Amino acid sequence: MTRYGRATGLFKDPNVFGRFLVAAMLYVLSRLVAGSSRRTPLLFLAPPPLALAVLLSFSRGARLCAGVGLALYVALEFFAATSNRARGKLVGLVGLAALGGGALVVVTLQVDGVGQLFEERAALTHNYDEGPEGRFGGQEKAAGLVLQHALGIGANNSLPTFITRSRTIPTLFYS
Amino acid sequence: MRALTPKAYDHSQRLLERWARGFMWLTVAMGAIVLPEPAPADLFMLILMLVLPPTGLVRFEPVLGGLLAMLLVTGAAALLGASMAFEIGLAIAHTAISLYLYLATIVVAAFIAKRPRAHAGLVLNAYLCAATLAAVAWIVGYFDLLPGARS
Repeated sequence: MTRYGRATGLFKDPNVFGRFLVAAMLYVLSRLVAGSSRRTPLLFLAPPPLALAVLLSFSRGARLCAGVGLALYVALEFFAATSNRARGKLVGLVGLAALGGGALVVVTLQVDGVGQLFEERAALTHNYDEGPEGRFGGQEKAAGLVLQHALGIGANNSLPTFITRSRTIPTLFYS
Repeated sequence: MRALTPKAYDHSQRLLERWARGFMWLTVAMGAIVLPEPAPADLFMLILMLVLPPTGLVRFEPVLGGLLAMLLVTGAAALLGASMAFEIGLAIAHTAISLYLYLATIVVAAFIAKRPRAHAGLVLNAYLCAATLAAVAWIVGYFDLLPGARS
């Protein structure tokens, strides 16, 4: 359920895992905002594990997805709300989420190893991204290949083509 | 064979629809488990793609034809690319899986189009359950709350 200290859950890849959770997070938020069902109290159970898992998947893509998605959703909901009461409720929920999220981060940073991984992965790019053998170098090579093969080289053929360090890494950390 | 009375037909149709909806819920919820490949959810989805249209729980809107056309163009381009592949087996397998996903997309979209509010809610609820289950399973594994679960 972990790979190199990153969360994958029942998935193979932390980045796929992280993004799988983002849409569910937005959906549960919308249900909480609508808040008319008798199952609403039960819904409050979902966001903490979802948020924690997105955070600790250490997937830059998933975090960006979650951040942009939440911001867009809250903005749209705020402007589309028909009453100030609904807006107040939204602001209250966002405040609650921020408080809960902050507490969650503080608590998880106390766990051995997690804080360290946080520091390591705080950078925007990592060593497997950079240099001629890194991900971006690989993309430059791919651009050359595109020009040589106008009809493409078929799906899933980039790995047998580039036998470099990027051979294994993109499949693991495609964030 | 004796024809079913309208009432009996209604009853069996409702039962069938209830089972089909339950199966759809289960299929989406199984999306949380993708460690083995092909994932169990894929097997379920294949069954749904065969079973769902005859139950009448789908509505193929003309606009879905447009989506299908675009997806099939993508698939055709992928097949063209596969003909140039260095390892054609890999390319064909990848493209075939993509084609399956295109068709699954259309079936799920047609299912939601049949009763948009109820069916979209059903799919999203199952998805929320799957995501929460996956997140909780991860927490249990990550923090070693259950001995041996970390691997």
